[in-house]
Amino acid sequence: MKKGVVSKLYVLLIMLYLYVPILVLMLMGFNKSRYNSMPFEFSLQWYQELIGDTVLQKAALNSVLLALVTGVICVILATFFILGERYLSNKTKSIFNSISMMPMSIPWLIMGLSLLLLIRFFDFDKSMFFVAAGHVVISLPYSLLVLKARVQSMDRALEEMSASLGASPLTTFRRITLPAIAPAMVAGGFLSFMISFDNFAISYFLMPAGVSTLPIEIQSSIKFGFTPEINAVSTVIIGVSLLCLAVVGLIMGSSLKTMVGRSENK
Amino acid sequence: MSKVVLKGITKKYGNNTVVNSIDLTAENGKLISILGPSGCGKTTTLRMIAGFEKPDGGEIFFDDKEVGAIPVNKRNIGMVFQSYALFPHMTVEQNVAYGLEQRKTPPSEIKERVAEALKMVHMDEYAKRKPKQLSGGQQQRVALARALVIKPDVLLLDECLSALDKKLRVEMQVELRRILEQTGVTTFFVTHDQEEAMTLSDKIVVMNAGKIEQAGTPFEIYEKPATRFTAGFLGKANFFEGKALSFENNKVQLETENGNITIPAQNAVVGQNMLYVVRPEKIRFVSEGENGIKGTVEHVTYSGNISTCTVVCSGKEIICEVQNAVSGQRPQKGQNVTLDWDSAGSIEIIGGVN
Ligand SMILES: Nc1ncnc2c1ncn2[C@@H]1O[C@H](COP(=O)(O)OP(=O)(O)OP(=O)(O)O)[C@@H](O)[C@H]1O
Ligand SMILES: [Mg+2]
Repeated sequence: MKKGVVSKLYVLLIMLYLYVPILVLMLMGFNKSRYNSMPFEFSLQWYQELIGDTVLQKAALNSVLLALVTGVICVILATFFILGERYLSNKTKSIFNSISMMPMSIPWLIMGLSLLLLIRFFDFDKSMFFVAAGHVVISLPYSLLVLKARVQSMDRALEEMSASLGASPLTTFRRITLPAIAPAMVAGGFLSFMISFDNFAISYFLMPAGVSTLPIEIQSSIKFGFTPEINAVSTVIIGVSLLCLAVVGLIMGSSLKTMVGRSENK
Repeated sequence: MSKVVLKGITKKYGNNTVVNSIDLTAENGKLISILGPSGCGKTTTLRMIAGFEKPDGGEIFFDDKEVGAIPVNKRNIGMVFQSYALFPHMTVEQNVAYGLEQRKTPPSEIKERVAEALKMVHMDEYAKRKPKQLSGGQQQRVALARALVIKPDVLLLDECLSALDKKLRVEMQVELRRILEQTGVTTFFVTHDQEEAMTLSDKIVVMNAGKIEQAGTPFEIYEKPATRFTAGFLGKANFFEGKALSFENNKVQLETENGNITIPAQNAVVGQNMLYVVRPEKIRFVSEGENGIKGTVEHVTYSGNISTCTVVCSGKEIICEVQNAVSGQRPQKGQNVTLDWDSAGSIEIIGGVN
């Protein structure tokens, strides 16, 4: 009995530790005071300002577009990588695996810096192309991770059966492989999207002048005086993220069940 | 509908030779069973015929055409895997229709043939279900329907009836036999069930450690096993091995490790090591006083139609089967008995003794 109370308290403390900062941030977006000061006075003033703030909106749009492009490219690359990798020997495969996961262990700051130096070295102009390329480099491992897990648990016999029934390799991919990995593609793409959307370091180094993303805009607004408008925009981001997560959960949920059900039946 | 010929087929995984220079001919429209212990290379052989694995040596012919360069999807084979491999995201109906769709069969005909195939395996009621909603035996039947509906030239069945209960299995065997006779498709059939192999096959191939031990009709394999392995693997067997000391009146006296024993035999070379196999059902109990092998009943197992007795004759265990007829009396444990059999019941295995 006592033990139960203690462990519940313990969980509660961890939850508080994780979520109180975010809750405070969200709450202050509804506070009238410019300096987050008490007493709390409810107002939608900062959201109204957000609606009028074209700079922030532009940055948000850039972020979403950049993350979308990154997510889509990551999924496509990861899918090709994973499917191609299956035909390698185990030894080559494990080497490829370690190399492809490396960007995860290199700090983004260093990654951004090295990309910047590379661009300088070849005397290219900074452009959105390089920003996207940089984002793909750091986000790709996340798509790979999710897809790899799915493909490894996939039964090769299904594709062989499809071939034995007369299907060409392309048909087999379209009708057998793709439906099996589609949920993982969505999940992997979403993960890469979030990594890119959230990224500050790479964007900061590579962004051409006059363009900004949401993380960069938020950072600079702190430098030039912070308003609860940032709280408001953060709340919107959190809301949209949760919504995306829920949608992905729904898509994955039903198709995951089919997959799981199959392997249970074996 | 193709004659299939394997010539010197070899498959290696690393240093491990899994299939070792196999020669095998499947005549057009015949059913060939492949029997052998787990891991002897049965599945690997089927996979090479299908084209999933490339042989490291040898050639495969479908009707005198070498198929090495023909990919799986152009070989017109039907296959049932050990693991069924039904497509999980498609219904039973869609699974069966898949092969016909690849052949650009008109939709109306697809519908007809799918329904027919499902009816054949008694799965017509389950057409709209997903594979995960089916039992193992039901999945197996769908897999069979999917392989048959495309009217393949060569049918490859890897333990395709193993998950069915006895009654359903016999039913499916009869059905399979009927379909095969009707369509004349050349079939390779891997099974662990000896009875199934005996009743279904035109030819049985016994494999061991990647090699063919013996190929022949079920009768030949059972009644005239060529090797000790075949004799021991298919059915129960009593082995008598030793130097022939004398041979007269169709009786051979053998010097075995359990001492000398005299058994009926049709042939023997005095002074040479001989190996005979005697099937349990060939042995009969004779009344005391008659000539025969004396022993004591050690153990009796009742299994309905027959009883299996272990009789110890001067240190050697001999297994024999008796019919549980109404009039016949069953041997009792501890009883002293005399065993005898026709000399033709002792099958000489030439080359069995090294
Ligand atoms: N992809 C592979 N890589 C390495 N070894 C393999 C591979 N596939 C099969 N083997 C080995 O080849 C041998 C033969 O395998 P195979 O699947 O043909 O046996 P089987 O006769 O079908 O056995 P079972 O009756 O258990 O199905 C086994 O020893 C197995 O371990
Ligand atoms: Mg096998």
